Amino acid sequence: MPALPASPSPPAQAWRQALLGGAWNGLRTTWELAQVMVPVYVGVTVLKHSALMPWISRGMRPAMGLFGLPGDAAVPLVAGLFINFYAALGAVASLGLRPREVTVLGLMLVICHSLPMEWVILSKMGARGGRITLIRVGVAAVAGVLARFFPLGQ
Amino acid sequence: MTMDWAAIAREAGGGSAVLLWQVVRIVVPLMVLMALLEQGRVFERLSGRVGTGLRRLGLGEHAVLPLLVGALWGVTYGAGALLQVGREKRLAAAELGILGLFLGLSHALVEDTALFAIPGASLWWLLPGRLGLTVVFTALCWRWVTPGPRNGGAGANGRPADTVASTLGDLCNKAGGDAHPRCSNY
Repeated sequence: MPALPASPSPPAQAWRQALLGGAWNGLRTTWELAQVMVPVYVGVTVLKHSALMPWISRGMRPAMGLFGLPGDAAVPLVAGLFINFYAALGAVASLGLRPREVTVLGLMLVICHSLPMEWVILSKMGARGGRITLIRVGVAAVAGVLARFFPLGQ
Repeated sequence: MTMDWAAIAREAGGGSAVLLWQVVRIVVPLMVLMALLEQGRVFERLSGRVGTGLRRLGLGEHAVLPLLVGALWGVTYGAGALLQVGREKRLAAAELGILGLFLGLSHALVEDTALFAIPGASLWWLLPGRLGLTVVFTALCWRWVTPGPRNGGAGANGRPADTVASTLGDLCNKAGGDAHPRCSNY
């Protein structure tokens, strides 16, 4: 590749624009994610210290126990399913689960998140959004149960 | 139970600031990389090679680009490419089923995985685990999510849609022909 001339040739300019555009896009995306992630992080931090959390934790223990997770893990799971992946990320970051638990929860959440919105997008693409959503929930449950038999993380 | 609000505020403020900084460090380089890949038309160039492999799995040339973009970019940010698939209607019904299910389970592979590493998840389990389950369940369930000709691509590519339509037709005949409520869709 030749050295860049004083006034960049059109291709070089296009690459520079792509670079700057990408960086700007990244900042804009982060701002959009932050609007979900930060409120959820703050909310879950308050919840964690409130009297409500032990109650949620006890109530959810049987269900989450299927996946080898503590009852608290229901909070990021529900946030991920119904809001989006970034809400789940904020909730997980605040809870301070063990690495193994974060990996199991992460595996379930990467498969199954933002269900209402992605249902719509897949349907608009022409696929059967409802059935795909059902399968996603099923596969996430299978992943969570299977994960108990694997030595994930520490 | 009394709550120490000052401590909670410090934890919420400090923790979310750290989280945000970690997200910036992942998302900004990722978006730059994606912009450069787009500028270099890397997906278009790759789709020729990947395409030959995918055709054996039942995906034709028009399905390859949306698959690559969706798997790496994601359903939300790659939504443009996927919605275009819906508008153009060039995909056969079977392709829509396979593509939709695969992408429903596996999309934004790079971004999702990298972001969940922030709170401490293991990349080496997330990525292969997700992809492995995606391949297995797409192979098992794609027929069930394949749309009928009414919602989908009306068999533009010939063979796959015809095969699916006739398979579904057989199923419907077995289930009682026109009397079966679902059959009117096919």
